[in-house]
Amino acid sequence: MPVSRDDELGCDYSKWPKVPEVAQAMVFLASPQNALTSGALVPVYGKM
Amino acid sequence: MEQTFAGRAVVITGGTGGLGSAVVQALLDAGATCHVTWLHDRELSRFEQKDRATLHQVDCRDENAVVGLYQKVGKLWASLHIIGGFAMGPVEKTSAEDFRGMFEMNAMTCFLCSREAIKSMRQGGDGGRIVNVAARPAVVPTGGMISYSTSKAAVACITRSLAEEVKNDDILINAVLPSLMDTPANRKSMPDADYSKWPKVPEVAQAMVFLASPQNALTSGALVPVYGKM
Repeated sequence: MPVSRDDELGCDYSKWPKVPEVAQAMVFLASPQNALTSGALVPVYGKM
Repeated sequence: MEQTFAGRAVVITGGTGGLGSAVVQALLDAGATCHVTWLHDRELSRFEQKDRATLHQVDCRDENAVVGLYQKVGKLWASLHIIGGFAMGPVEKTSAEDFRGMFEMNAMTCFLCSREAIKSMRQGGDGGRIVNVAARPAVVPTGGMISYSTSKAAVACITRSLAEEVKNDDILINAVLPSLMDTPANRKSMPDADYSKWPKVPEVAQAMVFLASPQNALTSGALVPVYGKM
């Protein structure tokens, strides 16, 4: 996500969760395959 | 079904049981190579997937046996720890032996298998997934089952602590928290209950298979409720 990168801070972007990975988690939660999980706050922190 | 597990080896402890065999079936459908542990002969007679999985007779409470299992399996993508037991009773009737027994069955098996799985995944260098089975009483105070609740709280702590410890190795570790599941044994012990509200075993299996899959790319250290309407 270009808007949240800041080269001057010397961040290691490789550790940042990728947007499509967060999307995958959301799509699973929205799918009929998720039959039971409700009320959950699901971390998508990756290596952060 | 999409072959999301094609070419991936998966260990399923307790894979011959009610929840275990549903997980094995879902993993086989997704193309996984399944390694299933068993202990007693009676487990094999009821295990429908026995010809499609590699079977290992292992007591997962035994440290050397668990080390041997993971050495034999070799390169590993995921390890799902379903082996466990349940016990209830008032605290004043719970003996040290009862308490120790639940701890061995639920917490020790989870610890030993998680340790060896992590060792193997770190050696492999391609990350991996671990899925444990904790339980609602591990996070929601529940009376009348202190040895069970305590042992499942240990499973929850193993899950969260190890997820943190290995987060830079692309190894994601999560647990599901079942409440009651619709199994023949539970129906027998609660004949007047409304079964339609009970979470179904294949539904719990689906949640576990997602957490074990490469599609889960970020979630780790989560205790995922699978209560449904309970």
